[in-house]
Amino acid sequence: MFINLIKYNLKYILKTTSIFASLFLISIILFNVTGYDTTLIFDEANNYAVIGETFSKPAIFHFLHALFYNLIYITFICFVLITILKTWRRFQNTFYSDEAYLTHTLPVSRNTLWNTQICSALLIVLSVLIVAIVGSLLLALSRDGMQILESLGLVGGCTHCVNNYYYVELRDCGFYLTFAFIIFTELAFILFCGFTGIIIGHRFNNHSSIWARVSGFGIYVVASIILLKIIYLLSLFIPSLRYIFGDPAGHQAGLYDDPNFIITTLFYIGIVYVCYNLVLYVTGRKLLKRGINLE
Amino acid sequence: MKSLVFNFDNKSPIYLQIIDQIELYIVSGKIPPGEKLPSVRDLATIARVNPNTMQRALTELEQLKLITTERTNGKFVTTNENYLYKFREKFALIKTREYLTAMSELGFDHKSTIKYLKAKGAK
Amino acid sequence: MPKHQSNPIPLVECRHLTKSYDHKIILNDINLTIPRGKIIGLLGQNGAGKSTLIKILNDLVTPTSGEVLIDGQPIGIHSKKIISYLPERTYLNKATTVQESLKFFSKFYTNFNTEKAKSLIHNLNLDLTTKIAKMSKGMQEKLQLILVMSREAELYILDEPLGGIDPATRDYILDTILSNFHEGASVLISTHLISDIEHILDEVIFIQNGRIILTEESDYLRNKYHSSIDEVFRQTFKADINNN
Repeated sequence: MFINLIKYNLKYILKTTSIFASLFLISIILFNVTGYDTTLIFDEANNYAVIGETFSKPAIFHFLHALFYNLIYITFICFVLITILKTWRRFQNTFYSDEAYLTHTLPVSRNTLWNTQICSALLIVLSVLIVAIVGSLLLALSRDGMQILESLGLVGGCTHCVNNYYYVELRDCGFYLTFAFIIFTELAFILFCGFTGIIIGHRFNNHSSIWARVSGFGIYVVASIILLKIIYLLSLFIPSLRYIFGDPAGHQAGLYDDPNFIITTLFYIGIVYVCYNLVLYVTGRKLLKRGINLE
Repeated sequence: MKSLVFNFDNKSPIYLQIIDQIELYIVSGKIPPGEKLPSVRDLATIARVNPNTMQRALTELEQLKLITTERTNGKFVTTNENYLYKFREKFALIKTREYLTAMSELGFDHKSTIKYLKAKGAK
Repeated sequence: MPKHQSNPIPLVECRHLTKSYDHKIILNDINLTIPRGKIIGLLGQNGAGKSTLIKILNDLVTPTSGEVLIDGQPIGIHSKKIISYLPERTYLNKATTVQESLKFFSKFYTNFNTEKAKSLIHNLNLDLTTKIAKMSKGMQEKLQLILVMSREAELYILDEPLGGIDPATRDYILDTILSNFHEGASVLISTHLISDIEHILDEVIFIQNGRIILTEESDYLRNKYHSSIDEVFRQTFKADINNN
């Protein structure tokens, strides 16, 4: 039952989001193809990438290259936004709209229904992450793609230093894992804020959709402020976090640029989000237990 | 059997109306003597009524001995000539009374009615 | 002996059921029992509380106070297994096809009779691959009715199944209800269009302003007042207004 419910949920959402994911990935591929060169040779021993042959292309390719460059960002933002909105909308429809008459009369407990939405949300966030990772790997196949990755901080090194010769440094495994971790938990948190907002909104008899948006957004804002406070508190105990707040004591030689600091900070932020998510899960469950009133 | 039409008005108990209409069909031969009746549910579907109401009507008809139940075979219309005759008589009486009342409203007394009937009825 | 007659536990029991929203009382101390194996009409004007009562039975609205027992148990997974509900609105996912709806129902309801549903749909000349969004409202209603009646439930609850439809469709709906409800089951039909449906009702419940005014066998009422249930209802309602 539970698995079936998730399947139906995901089918509906992924149908649309996969279109935008494809557009995103296609933009990257076309960007690579219209780039200034197509070969990178990776020197494993020294972690360098070296440019292979360069050859000039017709002018139209310059135009297309710039177009696809912009499309990469546009399609990715659309992809993420639409995924979030579609997931929220699916929750709203399943729990509070006409379809709710079917959902809430299925022979499953309300807890199961809530668990289904939560797990579906997590799987959707996973799918976004997978698309982002595949996109990054595709970008890594070309020099211009590498430049984009470098500008996002996903690789170190320098792609502008010397014309025909540049080097790219992969970050630590830990860095990528922590980065993925925090994206996962924060995206999940955004989704959960929306869900909880919708539940709270529907406890009001009038203007429920306004209350839903206000409370969902309100939870996010309040939680973010609390997050800052928590990190501050943690920094009192964990010196490496103090650099965020401009504490010179944290600025020990070279440590400021040490990716380990970034990893640590991201990691703790991620942990806080995990806690937030647990709180929202329990809150939603308790609120739903009080019952629903479909109009 | 499936082509039988039942009509109801909502002003009197439905089960009584079903009884009357089935009696009429049996007496007029539309449902022949000895005919096997469909199941209660099927009969209810044909008549477009609630199976419970149909069941109630059939129980009454059984009490009136117009229908008999053979345990394993189902329900059958009686073949007993006496009962069929009795019911034919009952309907004939009702119709005759209705006719006589209508004729008297038109100004015919009993004697004139019989005279008129003899004259016109032969045709 | 039909299965239902040997079961002493009433199918539905409401005790002192009350529902209010922001000081507005929708249902006021409702006490009623629904027996097994009967077709029962929940009759009342619009706004009398019929829909709210039905939603409570289906766990779509939470009572303010009072108790509801279905088959002797509080509302929960068991009650949802044995109740087949047809709401006034289209609750199917409009982006799916007829075939997918069938699959959905058979997956989630163990007592769903797919073959029966398929043959009923076939009789409507409805193609299984049609998208629900593309169907007319009338067709959507018929499809939902078929799905609901194809479940071998113990209680069918139909909320205003005859609203705003032509006589041919009305006859189709009544015929489908009569010939498909599971043996021993009860059917609770809520409507304000009494004259269209009264001939199939075993019992009627009159509800007005959130209160149960009368519960009686329909043929008994017809016999007692020598009139249709529709007429009895109007007279009762008039009396109630005069008393208030």
